[in-house]
Amino acid sequence: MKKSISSIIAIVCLAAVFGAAVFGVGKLTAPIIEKNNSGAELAPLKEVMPDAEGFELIYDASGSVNTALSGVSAEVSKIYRETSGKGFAFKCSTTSQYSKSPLEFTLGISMEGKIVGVKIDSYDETLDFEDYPQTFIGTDSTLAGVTLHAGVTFSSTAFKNAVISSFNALIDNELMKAAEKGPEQLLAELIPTVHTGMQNGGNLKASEIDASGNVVKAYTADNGSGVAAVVKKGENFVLVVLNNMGGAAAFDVEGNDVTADCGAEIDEAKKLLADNSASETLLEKRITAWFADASAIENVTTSAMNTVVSAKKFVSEGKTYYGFYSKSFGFKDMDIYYVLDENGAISKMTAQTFIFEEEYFGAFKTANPGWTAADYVKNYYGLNGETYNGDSLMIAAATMSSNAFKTSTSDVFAAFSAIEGGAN
Amino acid sequence: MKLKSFLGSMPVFLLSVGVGFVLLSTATVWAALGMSASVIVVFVLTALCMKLVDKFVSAEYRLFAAMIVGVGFSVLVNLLMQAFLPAVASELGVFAAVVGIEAANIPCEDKDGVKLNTVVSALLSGVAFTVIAVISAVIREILGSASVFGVKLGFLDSFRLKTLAGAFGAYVVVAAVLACFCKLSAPKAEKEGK
Amino acid sequence: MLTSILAALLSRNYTFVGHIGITGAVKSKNNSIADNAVLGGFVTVMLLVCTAVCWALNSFVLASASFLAVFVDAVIVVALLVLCKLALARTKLAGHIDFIAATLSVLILCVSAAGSDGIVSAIVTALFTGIGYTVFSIVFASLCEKLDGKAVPAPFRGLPIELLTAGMIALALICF
Repeated sequence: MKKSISSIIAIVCLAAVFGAAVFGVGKLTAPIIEKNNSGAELAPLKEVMPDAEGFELIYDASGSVNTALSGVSAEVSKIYRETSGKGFAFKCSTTSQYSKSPLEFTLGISMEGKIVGVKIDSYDETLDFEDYPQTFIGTDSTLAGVTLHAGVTFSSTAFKNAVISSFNALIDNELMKAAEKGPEQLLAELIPTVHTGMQNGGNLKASEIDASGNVVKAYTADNGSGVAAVVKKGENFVLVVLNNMGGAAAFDVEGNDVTADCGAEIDEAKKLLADNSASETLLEKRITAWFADASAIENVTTSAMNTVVSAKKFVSEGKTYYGFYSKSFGFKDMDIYYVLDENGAISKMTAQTFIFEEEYFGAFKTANPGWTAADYVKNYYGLNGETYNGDSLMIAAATMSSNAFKTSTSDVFAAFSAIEGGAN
Repeated sequence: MKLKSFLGSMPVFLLSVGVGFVLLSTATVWAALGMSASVIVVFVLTALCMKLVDKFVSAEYRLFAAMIVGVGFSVLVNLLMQAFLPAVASELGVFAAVVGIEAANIPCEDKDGVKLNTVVSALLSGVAFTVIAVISAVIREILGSASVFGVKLGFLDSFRLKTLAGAFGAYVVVAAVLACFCKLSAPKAEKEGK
Repeated sequence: MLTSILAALLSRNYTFVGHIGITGAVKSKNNSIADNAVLGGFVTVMLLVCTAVCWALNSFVLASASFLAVFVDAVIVVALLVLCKLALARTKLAGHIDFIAATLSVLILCVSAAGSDGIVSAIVTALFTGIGYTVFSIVFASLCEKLDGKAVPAPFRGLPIELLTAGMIALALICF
């Protein structure tokens, strides 16, 4: 018992001695460790703002700091103010449709309101996204010139929206003034509204092409449905949009239709139209495949600015028909052909590729035994612009493909209504 | 102590250091080196300290005293690493602070029953840990993460076995390395299958 | 809460997946199921008591001196082990105390020092870590018992094959 007590006392003394030693060393090294930890946390911030002297956390979504900032979007996790007044750094986290895990990045914005650095901290998708963030460097809150990254649309949309949220956090809390958009940018942003064939989900689906003369900026639709050009008109600028079927329209910065006053600008933009003979040939082949006796096949002019890339008129068995070729954006790019009778009712329809795979349609096939893709198409026959209800033919779990059908069908009816001189 | 005897006693030393720490330290080579250095320093200091403490503590309570001393030294070493070697300390995490508790198990004899001086035994335990951990870490990092010393080896990226970088991989690699040492230390007759 | 329970028990099992306390499982492989169950029960009780005390100390007393937390937690663990040893000195369980001190004190210390969002979460994690250790150390011992020494190549006999067996258990647990 005596030995036990003396052993226990010895253990207690050891604990006291080592406790004191740990306390002493801990107190001495605490400032050094604190500096190391904050350095480790701030290292990514220095990468986006190399000339920064230090950072102060002014907003944390988890509520770890008292903040005067309000209305900050959920995509912004943390906001740091650079201590010598050089700007702000952001930690952002965003998810995109179909992504497995959040896209996390660090962003640096200078006091002049320009992006000075971007660094991706975490991105788990296999698709190539590497250079896209660097296209933001040098832009201000208008994000002029920044487009989406083809092939990584969902991630680049999420990234762009998170950057916009970062700017809004500063603008809404009066830490920075919003940059003003120039007329060129305002007109470019009008394109998805005035030419729906050049957009998908509000995002521009077009590539910039070389511009010259009075044409300041020009875009060609990815699906070949037309061209949009920002053209200088005197001291001002106008947006000219063209389709491949002779249709043209012009708009000013406020979005007003100024087509009647812009004849010269429209003629200048027409030089940018690409050769559409490939689409016209495909449509003609489709027509002759359906109607062996088709004759007097000729192009028609329509002013509709949408996904329709070619429109033709022909005669079969003494009746007049109109053929249309629409290229909408589904799960993949869709090629859909329609023939409407002289009253505008669908007579024939088919798609180049049906993205109807079993795994997406399991529930629909169970509810509709024996269903095939051909059955789906027959649902459209006889419908016209008044009787067509876009939502009734949607297939859940194949939203992108059936949305594309909905878009194409609506666009074809619109193109039919807008045929120059009216349909016979 | 002869080399063969040392190699054959690896499992004994490993079980004393704590197989868990060996498995934990083999994720990257830097972690293995950092933990090895920590283990050697803590174990030797603990053994030296216990030589002084042995006079005051009975055999029955020696284990508990050694635990206190071991953890004390490992916490001190961990604090110093966090201050002056933060990159290494961040790789090791909290485990560098608790490894000292295993210092209580320093073996007194090797696999053949040969008695060992506790300080020598502590040093040999640390060396055994270092050898196994570093070799395993090199294998795991190169084959499991396609990198070495944190430097990515791009040409190996498509050949890497992600399983080796995980918990199961640690067991497999350490077992294989131990088996190699056991084979090397086996008597000649046994090696020839007689 | 259910996620934490399943994690502590299975996918983030401290002993086999986290490697902490695996030495204890290896050294107790020759025990009977009853012995391992008693040992596991002891470890679970120790985990619960140590976690509760350490959580209270770390949260309220050592909040401003977190560098002391690990050492103080280790002192608590040792103190409780010494108390148990004194209390159970003349019983059959005294051997278990020495075994726990030698091989499983690191598991008790790591769980106690881990820290969590609240006392309930800490206790639940400690409880199911102990249950996880008990169940899977029994499974491990049963598997090792079935290992035929002659079928195992000579270099793999002993610790290497035991590690591979533990690895198989870890692989099964990771799948959760």
